[in-house]
Amino acid sequence: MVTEQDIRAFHGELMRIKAEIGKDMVGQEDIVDGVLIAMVAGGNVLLEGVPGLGKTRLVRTLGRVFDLPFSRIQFTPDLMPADVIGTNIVVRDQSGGARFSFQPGPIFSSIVLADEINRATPKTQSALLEAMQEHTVTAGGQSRRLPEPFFVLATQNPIEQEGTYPLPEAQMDRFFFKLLVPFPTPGELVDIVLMTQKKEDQTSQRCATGEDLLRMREVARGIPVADRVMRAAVSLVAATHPKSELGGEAARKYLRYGASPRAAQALIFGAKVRALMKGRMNAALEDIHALACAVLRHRVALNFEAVTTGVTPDAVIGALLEEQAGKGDG
Amino acid sequence: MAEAFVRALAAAFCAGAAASLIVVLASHILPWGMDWRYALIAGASLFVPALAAGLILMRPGERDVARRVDALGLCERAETMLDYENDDGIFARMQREDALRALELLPKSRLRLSMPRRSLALCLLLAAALCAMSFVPNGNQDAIAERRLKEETDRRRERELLEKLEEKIDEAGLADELEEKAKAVLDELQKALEKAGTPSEKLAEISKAQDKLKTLEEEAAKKELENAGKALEKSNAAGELGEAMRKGGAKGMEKALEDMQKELEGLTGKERSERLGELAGAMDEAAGGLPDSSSIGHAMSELADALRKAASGDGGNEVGEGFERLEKALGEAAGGKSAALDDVRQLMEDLRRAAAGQGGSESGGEGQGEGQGEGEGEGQGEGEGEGQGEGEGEGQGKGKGKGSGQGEGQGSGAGAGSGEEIDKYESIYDPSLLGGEGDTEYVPGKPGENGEPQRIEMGDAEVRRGMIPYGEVYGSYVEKARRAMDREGVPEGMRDVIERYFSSLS
Repeated sequence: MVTEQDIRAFHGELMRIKAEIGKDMVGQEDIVDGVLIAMVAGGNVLLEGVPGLGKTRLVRTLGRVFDLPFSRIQFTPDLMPADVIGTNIVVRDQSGGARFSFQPGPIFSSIVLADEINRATPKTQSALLEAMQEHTVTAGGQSRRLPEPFFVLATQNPIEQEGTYPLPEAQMDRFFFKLLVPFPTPGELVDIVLMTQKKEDQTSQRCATGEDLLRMREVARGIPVADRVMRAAVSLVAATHPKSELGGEAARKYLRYGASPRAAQALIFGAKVRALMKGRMNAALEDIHALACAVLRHRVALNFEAVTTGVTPDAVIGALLEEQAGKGDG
Repeated sequence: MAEAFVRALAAAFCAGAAASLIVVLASHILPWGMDWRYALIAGASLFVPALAAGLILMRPGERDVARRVDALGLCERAETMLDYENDDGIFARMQREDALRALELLPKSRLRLSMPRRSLALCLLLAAALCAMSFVPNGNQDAIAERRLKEETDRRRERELLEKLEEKIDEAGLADELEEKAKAVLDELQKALEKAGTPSEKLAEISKAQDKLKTLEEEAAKKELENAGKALEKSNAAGELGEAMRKGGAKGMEKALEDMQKELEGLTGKERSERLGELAGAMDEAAGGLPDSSSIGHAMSELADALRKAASGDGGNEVGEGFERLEKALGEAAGGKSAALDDVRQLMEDLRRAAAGQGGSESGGEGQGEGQGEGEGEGQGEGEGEGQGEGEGEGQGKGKGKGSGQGEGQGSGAGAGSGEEIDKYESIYDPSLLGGEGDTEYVPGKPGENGEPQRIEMGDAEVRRGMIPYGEVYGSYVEKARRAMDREGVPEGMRDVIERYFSSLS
């Protein structure tokens, strides 16, 4: 049961978490905000960026700040599903008999870093599907529930595409956000270098628990959304469909297919969390606009024309937002 | 609310300015008598209802106000508050508190009146367009101004002609009763012309007045003949002529004059001188009883002078000429024509031309007439007809017939004219335009004594079949149709149809 106190405490708690993460993370505020929003909303995040931008560090920091079990899986082409989920092994009991015992894989953590996820084979990638969506894994015909909260933070490298296996659309759709990790500014770079020269590298402290995170999720769920904001989110998602009557001009021109209903859900829930994060008690169009790219960029597929002319999903989404604003929907 | 009023005001200004601009633009395309007042009236008449409609339609609702406030940085707080106003849940309550707090914190300076920039820009654009239009020369307006000037000139000309007509009637020396009637006809005509809107209506009124004056003229001629006849009857020498004049028959008068001449030819010496003197006295007496303008009176006075000269043995030839002139004057009077009203008749024609918008101040021009002559008896006679021409000029008709006696001619003429009222470039087919240069034309007649057919020379003529400007014949065709309707007894129901047809042509 959410109380008024929980609601009032939300913003402060989140700011405290953010501040604590900030002790270990230099810059990347948008990424931190995005990850926090996704965590509160119960979604998974796909981080895309070149190596060395602090992706792994962010996940580790999150685990420390929330005091949650953290595991990291380095995806490689020879990684097998059992390496992720776990497997049944034969163990001898005290009476000398043999029996199968399930040995949980690294997925049985609250925060899982799937590093370079696109380097694993589709078979192994798909092992994550059930875990990401249902928060369960099935091994040896038996489904096992993953600990709550459960959060997958996958990374992929936009360069070195050789020998990689692009994530299937179904799996991409499971990611709440896809965040592009930018290269730090020169000032941030200096801070990063200085931070790593310290003797004690890790300074962030635990300031929230998994229960806090789940309670915050409940709080966010109740945030009111005006009809107009809801319509704007839905219209935007509908506008990404090139063959739909509601499809936008930019979508017809540059997209092969549009976002799924999960995108609308992610937009609204994300907007609610962001509203609370900004100290508001209602989701606003501003939240929809701020999260549109993160929610939609991995859920739409560019067509040949867009690829050849260098049009990015973000550019298409930006154009769709402008179209919506022009119609008075956004 | 104030913002809605400003928006409605701007929209109303736009509507009004647009209406004015449309009127101004239309005046450049359509042949309107444009006046900037019309543009102003059009603008004002649209402005008021547009403002009223704007105030009603643009009155902001709750949601509009919420959206407007949210646009000031409240991030949909107000709209959300409205959407959840009936929700008593903790989230809705806290959201309301948050929205109200944000509203309280909203700086008053941000609550400024937002001007409808687009509407104001449109207003300025339309106003600039209106101003610009005032510098664009309007060909239509020049033509219309010219036409108005022409109409005004025509009206002035009509008034002058009517005044002149009144003067001429005064000068005609008509009997009081006739003069009164003639003036009444003029008064009636003047009023009718003021009421008439189109040239065809004016022409119709003038035709009516002409008919009435024609009747009066016939009455005047008859009166002249009667008065002169009565005076002559007193004399033994001219009693027969007097009686014939009183009866009014042209043939009788002619015969009486012939007898009188024969009788004089049969007399000699003193007896002849006495008779000539007696006749001169009778003529003088009869002429004295006629108006100064009377052609019969003049002819009688001249004959009296000639008779007196002949009585004194001088100027024998002049007696014959005097008889001829008297015969002619009597013939005209018998035909209902009074010389006293010649000027009136001419002025009426001028008035007709002015009304048709075809005439200038001059009555000269070209006219062509057709005539028909009828003869009776044997020998060869010649009938003369009169024609009336429309447009500039008058028509003359000449009828020729074979026979003896008198020929009567009737003519109708079609005159060439130019008019502004009716587009002169619109042409219609005219089947027989006589005149111009061409080979001599002959009309074959009966075989003569030598067996060769007699020929009647028509003179240099050619039948020009072709198109002539509509305006040149419109007036005369209307008039012909009107006269034909009066004459032919066209059924009442059909009269309107014909009237409408000709009205539609104008």
